[in-house]
Parts: sequence; C-alpha cells; structure tokens
Amino acid sequence: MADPVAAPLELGSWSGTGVRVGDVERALEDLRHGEQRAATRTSVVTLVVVAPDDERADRACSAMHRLGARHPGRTIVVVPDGAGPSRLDARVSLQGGEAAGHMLWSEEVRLHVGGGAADHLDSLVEPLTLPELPVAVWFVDTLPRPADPVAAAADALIVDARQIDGTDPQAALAGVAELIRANVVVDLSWVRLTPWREILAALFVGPHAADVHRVTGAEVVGRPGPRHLVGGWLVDRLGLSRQGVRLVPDDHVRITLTTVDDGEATRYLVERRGGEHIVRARISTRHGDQASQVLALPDDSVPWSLGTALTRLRRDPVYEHALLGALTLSG
Amino acid sequence: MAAVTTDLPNPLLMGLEGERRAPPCVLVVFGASGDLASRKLLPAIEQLSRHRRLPANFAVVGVARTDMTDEQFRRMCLDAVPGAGPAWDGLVAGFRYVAGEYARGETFDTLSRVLAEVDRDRGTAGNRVHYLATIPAVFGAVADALAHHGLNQAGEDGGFVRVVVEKPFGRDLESARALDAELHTAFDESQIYRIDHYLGKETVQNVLALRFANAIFEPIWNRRYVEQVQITVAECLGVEHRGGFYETAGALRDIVQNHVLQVLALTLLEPPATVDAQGIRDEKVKALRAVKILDPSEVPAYVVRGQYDTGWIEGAEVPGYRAEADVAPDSETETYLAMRLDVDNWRWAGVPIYARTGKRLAKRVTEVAMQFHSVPHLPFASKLSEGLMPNALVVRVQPDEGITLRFGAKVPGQEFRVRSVSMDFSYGAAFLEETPEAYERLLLDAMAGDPTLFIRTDEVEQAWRIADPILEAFGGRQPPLARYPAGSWGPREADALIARDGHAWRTP
Repeated sequence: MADPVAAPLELGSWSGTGVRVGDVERALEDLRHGEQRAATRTSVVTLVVVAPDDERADRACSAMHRLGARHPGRTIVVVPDGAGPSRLDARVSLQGGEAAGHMLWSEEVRLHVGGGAADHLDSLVEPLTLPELPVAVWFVDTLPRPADPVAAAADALIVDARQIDGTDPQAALAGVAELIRANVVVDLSWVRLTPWREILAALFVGPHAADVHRVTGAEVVGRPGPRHLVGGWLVDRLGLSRQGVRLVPDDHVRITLTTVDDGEATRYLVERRGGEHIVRARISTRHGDQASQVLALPDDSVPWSLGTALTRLRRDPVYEHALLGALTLSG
Repeated sequence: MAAVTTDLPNPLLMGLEGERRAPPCVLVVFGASGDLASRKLLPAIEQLSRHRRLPANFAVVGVARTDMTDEQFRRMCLDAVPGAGPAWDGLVAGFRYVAGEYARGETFDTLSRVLAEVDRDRGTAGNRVHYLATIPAVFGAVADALAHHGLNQAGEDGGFVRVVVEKPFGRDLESARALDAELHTAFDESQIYRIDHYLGKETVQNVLALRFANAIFEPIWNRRYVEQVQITVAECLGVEHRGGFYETAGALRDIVQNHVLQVLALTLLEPPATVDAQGIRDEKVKALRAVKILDPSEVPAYVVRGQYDTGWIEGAEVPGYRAEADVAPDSETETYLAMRLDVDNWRWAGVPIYARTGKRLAKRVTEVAMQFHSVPHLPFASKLSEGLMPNALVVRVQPDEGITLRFGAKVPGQEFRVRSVSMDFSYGAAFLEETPEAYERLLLDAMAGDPTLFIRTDEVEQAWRIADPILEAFGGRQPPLARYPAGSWGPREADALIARDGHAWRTP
C-alpha cells in the first residue's frame, strides 16, 4: 500500500446546479490559477468513475483519497440518473497533501447527470479529460450497457466481476466476457488474485521447477467468482481438463495442485484460513512438508486493488483466457 | 511418465509482473549483529518477503562475533522491523545464527554444519549469497576461511555462490588491489558483487532512462550544448557517532571515490548497446578512464578541501567537526570537497565538471545539473531579459527525486520581457507503482544473479586512479584546509574555485 496522503486538504472548490460543461472547465482553470501550490502537476491517467448512487460515489472517492502517492491526478465521478429531469449539477474541488515527501495535488469533478444526457456520458466526460493521457472508466458495482458510448471513449474499463448489482458472480463473469470482445478490461477480482497466483507459481522453483508441468489435478476452494477465475486460469495455463479441476464453495480459500510420480502424490498448496491476513504455502508428500512459507497478503481493500489496476491499463491475455476457462467450469 | 525438462518456463508465471524473484538460497550475513544488518539488510529482506520476492526455500544465516543463540538472533531480526506481522515472524523462525571470530576455523566449521542443516530443512539447494557487512579489515580472513571450508564454490549439483562486498573498496588504489587480490583467491570476479547503494536508487537509474529512452536529450548531451556540469552530494548531518571511522576516511574516500564518481560515470557515459551488466559497466569504465588525472602538484588548483566549524542547522546550534566525539582536536580530515574535473574525450573535452560534497551543509540534496550554453544571440533588449539564465536540466537524486528543466518564457504584459522559469517533474508523484528501497532492489539483484548495478573491479581501479593523486596531495596538507560554518554551502575557497572559470555554484 502506498504512503497515505498526510491530512489531505481541500485547497479550493466550486459547485453549481444546472450548469454546462464549459462552466466546469472554467472552474477547474480558476481553481488552479488561484492556488499557487497547485501550479505544477504530474498526472498519469484520467479516471472516470461511474457510480449508481451518491453513497457508492462517496466510497469510490474515499478509495481514491487513500491511494496516497499513487493518485492518478484527475478524477471525474459521474452519478447518472436517467429518470430525473435533464440537467447537470457539478462540484469541482482541488485537493492537496503530502505523500512520500512529495507535495501532491489532485482534482475531483463530481457530476450529477439527469435525463437523456445520462445515456451520453461521453459527451460530458471527454471535454474534461487530461490531454495525451489514457482514460480509465471504473464502473462501480455495475457493467456498461452494450455499446455504451462512455465505454467506447475509454482506453480501459475497470470492473469488479465479484460485485455487480443484480447478478450472480457467474453471470457477471459472462457479462465481463462480453466486454473483453471490444474493450481493454481490468477486473478488480483478477487483480486481487495476483498475490495468490504469485505464491502458487513460486512453489515451483528449484528442485520443484519441473513439477509444474506434471500437475494432473487441482482443487480450488473459495467464493464463487474468484474460485471460477482461478479454476479457469489453471485449466488454461496447465492444460488441465475441466474434470481435472474441482471447485468447492467455502468462505476460506485453498488452492491445491497435485502431481503423481510412481504412484506417490505431491500436493502444492496455498491457503488462507478464516480471518487471517496471511497465506500459508507448502509442498506436502506423505513424508511430510518439504517446504513451507508464510506470506503476507496485501490489504485487499479497494484502494490497493484500484491502485494496482491503474498500473495495468492494457489487455491481459492471461486474464482473458482464464475468464473464458472459468465459464466452462461449474461448481 | 514422459521426461520433463526444467528449462521450460513456468506457465503460472506468465503475465505476472512479480515474475522477478529470488531463487532458493541462503543469505549468509557476516556482521549480522551490526548496524548495517539491523538498519538496512533486515528491513530490505522483510520488504522482499512482503512483496513476495522470496521463495519458500530461503533462509538467513547470521554470522558475527557477538555471542547470541539462534533464538536471540531471531528476536533481534524481529526487533529490527517492528510491526512487520506474522509473515515476517514465520520467515524469521527459519533464520540461524553462528557466533564466532572470523579468524577461527571453528566458526566456519559451525557455519558449514548449519548451512548443511538449512539446505536439508529448507531446500535451499546449496545456493549461497555471502554478504560481508563487516569492517573491511576482515574481508580477507572471511574469504580465506570460506574457501578453506569449500563454501566459496557451488556444489557438484550446480547452483551458485556469490559474495556481496560493502564499501569502502580499499583506501587507495594499492589497498583496493590488495583487497581484490584477497577476494579473488576465493572468488571469481563473476561471483563478486560490490555494492554502492546509490546505484540502487531509482533516480540514479533514471539518468539512463532520461538519456537513452528520449530522442530529445541525447543529441544535446555533449560539449556543443553543455557548458558545465555540476554534481552536488550535500548532507545536513555531521559525522554523528561515526567520528572514529570518518577520521580515517574523509569526504574523498567516503563519498567522492564511490558515489560521486558513479553518478558522474552514469551521466557522462556513451550510449551502451544494451542496458545490462556488461554494456553499462564497460561504458562506465570508459567514461572514468577519460577523466583527466591530476598531478599531485596540480591538486591545489583544482580541488578545495574544507572542514566545518560550529554553526546552525535547522534552527539548532551544532558543534564544529573537531569538537565531535572521537575526532582529534587538530584533525585535518576533510568534511567537504569541491573539485573541477576534466574529461578528455570527444564528447566532453573542454566542459568543466564541478563536483562538491560535504557534511553539515545547508540542505540535504543530491543532484546532477547540466547547464547549457547561452543562446548565441539574444534578440531582446538587455533590460527586458534581466533574470534570464541559460537553460539547465537538473536530475535530483534525493530527497525529492525528479527532474527540473529551466527555460526562458515571456512575462505576461505589454512589453516583451523574458525570464527563466522552472518546470518540475516529481518522480515519486508521476508513477502509480511503488518504488523499492535501494537495498531491497540490490539484494534481489544479487540473489537473482544480476550484477548490472554492482561495481566491477576495473571501475574501482579507475575511481582510485582519479582519487589517488588527490589523496597524495592531502597527505602533504595541500591544499590548505579551508573552514566553513555548519549550515552554509561550504568554504569561500570553493566559490573562488568555480568563479575562476566565470561560473558559480548552483543553490539547489
């Protein structure tokens, strides 16, 4: 986790109801000119957050603030409400704070979009994005509808297949699989699995390096969604058959890979017991553990996964294959 | 079952950015009860573990004269990284400790036995990285003993044995060669990793990225465009509790011979064909070889040595160097050094390279500043261009790592007035990735067998070749020791040194 911003400070703000995008642009410019400390900027991405309601928009903003030194620069938070009258309400704020010895500042634009414009968010967002930088759109607890113009305007979409309103995790995975056909998608569920993948992969080093090519079976215990992704990943990466991967529902997580040599099984196992923030990894034979390790898991909070996702705004063929593999598995 | 070869890549690693990790090995730390181990090495190992860069088959074996049990050593490791959590507890539980004198064979008999036990219990496969975090005086004895006990070479099953050596690499060219000869009786050059933690800093490496990943800088990185180069390594701190050590070192040995010349080499080197161990280090050696060697009689004209007197730092009065603990009241040791270097090659001939370093200076800062020539003709009235300075590109190494470009801009208004403005790039704020600490990076490199950021023997020799005549002059008390108040930017003599060429020191 990055250093937190020490006491982030709102350096200035502006708000208006029934405004136009040009008003928001002017407000951003005025705030920057009025605040000497914000005269320089190093931004790496424009993050657009599409949230279904204010509560989730607040949660997303809170995660952004906790990114600390990894803050991307400008965030545009959009709360669409197609049911209401057609109007644009906006709030713009300039925030500053110190992280890792650097004075950082960031801009946040919050847009409430009513009426028909909610179907054309791209027309509101594009004038506000930073030039020459990628645009990532984070759909909080939702997926974009088919041919959503705001998705088409993005360089990458951030979603969380584990948490999509009104759908079960497997249906969510199917929805994301549709998205990857035309978009770069970064799935926060997959990001959270990164340390698990690293720990499992790291068991196959030194004298055990070749064993990864001999795995004949896998068992993945965990919650729906993530366990399907892990299963799909193992099917794809290790060439296992669908029958060779067993998925078991449970709240705690355990991944076991098995090799059999001369009738003797060796198990490569990583697990997290309930409530623990550590992972235990070990290689077991009937003679006992051959290697064991306790590893810290990064805080799997939204700021961590979001911060990591923002460094990976590109196609991830391993994820895409894992996702397609996951759809073939049941359980 | 069909035979499976181990050289096939691990399919589970594909797409993982954390692909770079240590192989199974034991890190043997000599001087494990010392300051360096507690302050730098153990926290770096904890970070490597936290970032999942260590395999399950990993252990630390500490060796030192201090009498400790395994359990006491583990407690020391836990205390060195407070609040690290259960994963560190779990890792430390496998650490071992060997107490003993480095000159005694029994110490290494015990070490051999412990390493065999660790290999058996942890599956570390006979791979070793010996880290010499001791005083240099015992490097030779440790290397000898390791060779005598067969701990300097990989076993019959393959694997690796490396040795990491902390600076100082000798006190002069002769002692550096003697030290190398001692190390080379036990280890091949390919096994020796000389560490200068400056090279593990991201911004030092970023000099290479700036120069060779951009089309706009390299074409102007030469005598045609660059008027002068200034390298500053300034510290606010005094000698703290290291007075005894510092009396035998001084700024030349402590900072210039290693950090300053390493930064200089990276700044001035020719484009390498590849950024790897051989490509970079070959070019660094060529750059250092091109530095003009002074005759000791020339040193007073090119070098200023100084020592701090009492003064004020950050609102507190601090004692002068001679009043520090373990420092002689009539000490001649330099705590400040400024020098002009010349580089005899096509790229840099005639461009003065000014370097300065000191303790108890006004600010803690390390930077490299390239100052460019003024424009050949300024088409603005002189009263409208007051405050316009030549372009400068400054690479800040610490504390606020980044790059500043100074350029001229029109002042808003009816007149065509121009003045200089600075554009800042803050390295830490520009990336979403976390920055590893220097020791974390370098320890992983040593375990993974990548010597790119370590110093090769011929680099050490070239650096001493530059420093030796200056040391010789200093031995004869030339130039006379200049004084400067703590909290200033150094002695007036240093200002005079650079003013002679019509230049002035930057104020970082």
